[in-house]
Amino acid sequence: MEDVRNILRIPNREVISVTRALAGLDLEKIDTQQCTEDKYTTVMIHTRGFFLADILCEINERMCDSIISGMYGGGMPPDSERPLYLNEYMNIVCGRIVSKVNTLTGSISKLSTPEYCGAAEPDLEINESMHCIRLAYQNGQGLIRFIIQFDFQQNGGEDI
Amino acid sequence: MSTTIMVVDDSPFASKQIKDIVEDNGYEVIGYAKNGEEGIELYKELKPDIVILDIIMPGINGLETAEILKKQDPDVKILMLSSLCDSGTMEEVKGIGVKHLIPKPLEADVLLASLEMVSKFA
Repeated sequence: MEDVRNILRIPNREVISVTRALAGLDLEKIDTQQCTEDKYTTVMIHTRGFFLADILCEINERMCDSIISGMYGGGMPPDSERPLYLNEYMNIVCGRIVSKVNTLTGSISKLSTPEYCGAAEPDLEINESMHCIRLAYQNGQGLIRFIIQFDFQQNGGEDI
Repeated sequence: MSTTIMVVDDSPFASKQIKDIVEDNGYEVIGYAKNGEEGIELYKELKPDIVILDIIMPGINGLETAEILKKQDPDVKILMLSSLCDSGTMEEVKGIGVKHLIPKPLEADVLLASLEMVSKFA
């Protein structure tokens, strides 16, 4: 099986490149301890197949505004569409991560549709027996962090 | 006369991006659907030249939607989109008889080149 260390490098690259491509934002990676704000908007995605993961994205308000405005091309979409913009951001970030993992490992994994949780407490139980990647970024205005908890299905995800 | 397009995608971002890219290039977006079910109904009504169809959607996903559309109209021309764009996904898309899949985030030149291929060869 592909070295886990190579898989661990994928999310950081994809978060940075997708955020630049979609929203025109340059993210600076920071220590997760620097994310001290307590109000975040959360979006969850789950994967199934070989790469079995729960991916949580937490975004503070200023970063939400930056991402949505960047995707919209300046200005803001109607309030009712804001969650859909964040869902699409998460869909594309996670889709790119999973595509790269699939290519690297020669396996098949799939994504759920994104689940916008707003300010609600995320429903993610940390499982110590699984791998966990924590990433945090700032862009001078806001903060965004990802928790990617994952494992590999031994049957190679043939049941998807 | 413009080539007509129907977009089936739950993301208003993707729909807006497609409209912005295609409408100055000889295409006209004549309808939007937010999910597969809506897309199937709207296709019967509009009969667009090309359907741009996202794969990951709530309810009936894009692959299932494409299968239903092809049963209803074997001549339907479909361009699929997905953030999940690897060889396994490509195989699945080919397996249902669709030849064209492009990745998200969309790039204007890739979208336009793919639409040209779909309109000529799909």
